[in-house]
Amino acid sequence: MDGQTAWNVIPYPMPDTKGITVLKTSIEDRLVMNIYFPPGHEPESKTPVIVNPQVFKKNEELQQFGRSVMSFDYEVSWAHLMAAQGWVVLKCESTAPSKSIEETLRFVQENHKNLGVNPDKVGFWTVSSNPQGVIGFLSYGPDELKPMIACSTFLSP
Amino acid sequence: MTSFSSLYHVPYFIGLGLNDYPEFVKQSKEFAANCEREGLPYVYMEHPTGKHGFDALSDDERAREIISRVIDFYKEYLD
Repeated sequence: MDGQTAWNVIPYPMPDTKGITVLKTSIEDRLVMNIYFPPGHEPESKTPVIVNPQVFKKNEELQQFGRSVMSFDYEVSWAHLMAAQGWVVLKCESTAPSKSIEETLRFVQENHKNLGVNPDKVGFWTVSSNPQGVIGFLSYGPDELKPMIACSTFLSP
Repeated sequence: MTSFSSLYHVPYFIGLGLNDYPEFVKQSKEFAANCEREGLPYVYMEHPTGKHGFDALSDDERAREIISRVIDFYKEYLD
């Protein structure tokens, strides 16, 4: 994803995004997550979750782009579109991208009741270089985590 | 993209612009061909004039069609 792409929102009629809430959280500053909840999300629900991991090492992106990739207009518009459909969207970036997917999925497993998500209905959404991280995880990641994944999207891979 | 061997099998959606970097186009087509050969459910969609990041840069009906199909893909496999 380059600078030109970053500032564009997706050219798609955006549904009403009012009511989408965003939880920003982190694990010891090494894994930062922005979690988008759909309007009217019930914490006791078992909502499917779409995970969007970044391969950029946290803070290096700031040097390259001047801001976090997760905050790109393009990235936020996709998150809004998916959350507006009723899914939880979890965007994450890490100081150790090769481990970020594993750590994020363990976070989902451990916190699914508080988040109101279904840990057995996880989809990946990735673009540009990020599919490499997902393919690496699906090839060589811990076997006990892989059954959580229901599907995966690769755009401009 | 990398090797298909040892990849955990789930349904995949692959969307790309044909004016993306040639190596990316080649790898994406190979990935889709591997899905086909392995009998995996997959969706493969091309934007005929799209560049890298076509879903941000191509403000046209084909880009919207691909985005719409991504949403349908998640409805099919997540809901």
